[in-house]
Amino acid sequence: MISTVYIEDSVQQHERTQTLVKRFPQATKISCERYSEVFNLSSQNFRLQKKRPALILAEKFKGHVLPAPQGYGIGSRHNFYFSHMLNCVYDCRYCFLQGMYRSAHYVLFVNFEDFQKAIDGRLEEFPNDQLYFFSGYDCDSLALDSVTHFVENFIPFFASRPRAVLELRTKSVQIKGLLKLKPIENCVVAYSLVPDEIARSVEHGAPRIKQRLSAIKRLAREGWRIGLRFDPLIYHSNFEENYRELFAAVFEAVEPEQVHSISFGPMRFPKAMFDTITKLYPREKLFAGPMEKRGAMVSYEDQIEKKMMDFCRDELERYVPQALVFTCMQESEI
Amino acid sequence: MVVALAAEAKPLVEHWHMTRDSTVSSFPIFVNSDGTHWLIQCGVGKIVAATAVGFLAQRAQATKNDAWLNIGIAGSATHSLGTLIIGHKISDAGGLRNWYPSQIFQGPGLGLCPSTEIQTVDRPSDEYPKSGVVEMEASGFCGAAMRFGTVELVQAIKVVSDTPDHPIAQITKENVKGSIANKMKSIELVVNELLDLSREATSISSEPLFYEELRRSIHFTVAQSHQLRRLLRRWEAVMPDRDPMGEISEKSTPKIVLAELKGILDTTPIDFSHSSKMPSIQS
Repeated sequence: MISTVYIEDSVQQHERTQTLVKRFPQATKISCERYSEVFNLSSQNFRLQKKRPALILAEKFKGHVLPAPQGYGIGSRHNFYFSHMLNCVYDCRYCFLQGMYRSAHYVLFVNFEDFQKAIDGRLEEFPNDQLYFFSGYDCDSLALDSVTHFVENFIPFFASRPRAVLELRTKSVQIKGLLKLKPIENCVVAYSLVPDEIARSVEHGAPRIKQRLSAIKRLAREGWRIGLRFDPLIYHSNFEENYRELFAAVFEAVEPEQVHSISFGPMRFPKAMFDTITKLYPREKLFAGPMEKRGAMVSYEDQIEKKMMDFCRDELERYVPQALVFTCMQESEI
Repeated sequence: MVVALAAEAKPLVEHWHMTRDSTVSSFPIFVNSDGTHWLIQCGVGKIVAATAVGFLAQRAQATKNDAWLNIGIAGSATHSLGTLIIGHKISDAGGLRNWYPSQIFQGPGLGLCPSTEIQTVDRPSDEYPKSGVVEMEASGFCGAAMRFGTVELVQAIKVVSDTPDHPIAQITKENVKGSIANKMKSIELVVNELLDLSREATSISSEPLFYEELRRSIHFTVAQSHQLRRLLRRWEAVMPDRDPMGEISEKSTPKIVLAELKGILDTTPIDFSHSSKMPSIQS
């Protein structure tokens, strides 16, 4: 899958780098001074690069753990995110990463220890509170776990820090790493889900919904706490029927008491990001619906958004208590 | 295509049946009959290579989606004489910058030729780098071509013309011509891969069906044209089999056309059940 690996000079000798390059004996290894020489140059074409992305092994020097965007939380006052990787192996048409970076290469920061120090720093900042750390903001938390060993490195770390809750956001069925470990209370394995018809059409390369539900079932049976993320909600001709079917399938796979939290929110993009993505995919059905510019955002028309949100909230509350259900929107809009 | 020497240009010009563009004298420029392949012969050195890229971009009215290829000879201590290589890193011995041509069509199973580092120097040298190849144009070429074009569409390929055992002094016009001609099959494969990518990039931003036709029959302002383009692209995505021209009233004004198209699109439910299916990565 990976045929080219760029390696920053500063991490050539890093133990994790040495292990990682052995995973790709056939790949061309190319040294670079900084990952920014290869990643996100102004004249790169995301769509062409996505045909054969390279892996870039790099070091992150600052900004390891950042406050999560407003509306991203699941009940806590203190929400942070950290990105050991930039970009995702999947190619979901609604993904903001397409509009965020001009490059489709995967950047893996190998200095995991510095992320962990930064997490400890945040815990010291708020000594009496529970803090949430989201790991799947700029990447899928698990999709490349067999390569990165992220789970093996971070679950034991969080196990000894019960005040810190880790969310692994994923669509991946790469759960071997988790199944090898004893489940911990302060980790939520959060699956992104859309109706199967949508997944097949717009989540290119991602595991089928059926496979994701099998992974959820397995993890829940082993005692891992499950998060369900119906975000973004996508408007389409049979949305009520399709979302009703999806929720029914989900709660057939997982018992409500195994669910840590559910969140859902409509598809929305900052205007500039929407323009970038629609330039990359001008004939994409996903963006052909009744969308409008509202303030700095592009979203479905107000009444459609409300209709979808109300419908999904009512349906979800048939399965789980209201307290577990969160909306992913700016606070001012909730 | 950008080459330094006449001896490098000759086999390429012959292969693609290009003829000299007699309207310019600053650089020898060659073009094929349908204008799809251009070649400029820049002379030796990175400065003239960069200048030639700019000159050809203007002359050929190159767009962001056009491909650029530097073809030439190079010295190497690690690759044998006559080997064709493609650059995966271009470094400039006199500068601080490196360039990284995309490896989209390289890699195991796809390798058209081995990839390596190309080091650009300012004057001919019989000192060879420990790895890769050394030559005199690639850094200037890449620096300029990546400004005019897209990184994924800029490549440099080199045929090894001298090694410690076959020093630079032994290079002749004839063996330069022969080295390039011997690798023509591989060079053509690289050119074709680049052209495929270029066509793909161009098709992404191509105008939607009926856009030009509508603009010819009704006068749209610039802003209205943008709206029309967006609406017709939505139309192509949602109703590719339905002709939008049939939905437009006779004697329509631009405002009415836009309103009619928008009205239909906003009330047409999006059906994802007939979309193309992509394979799952299973990770």
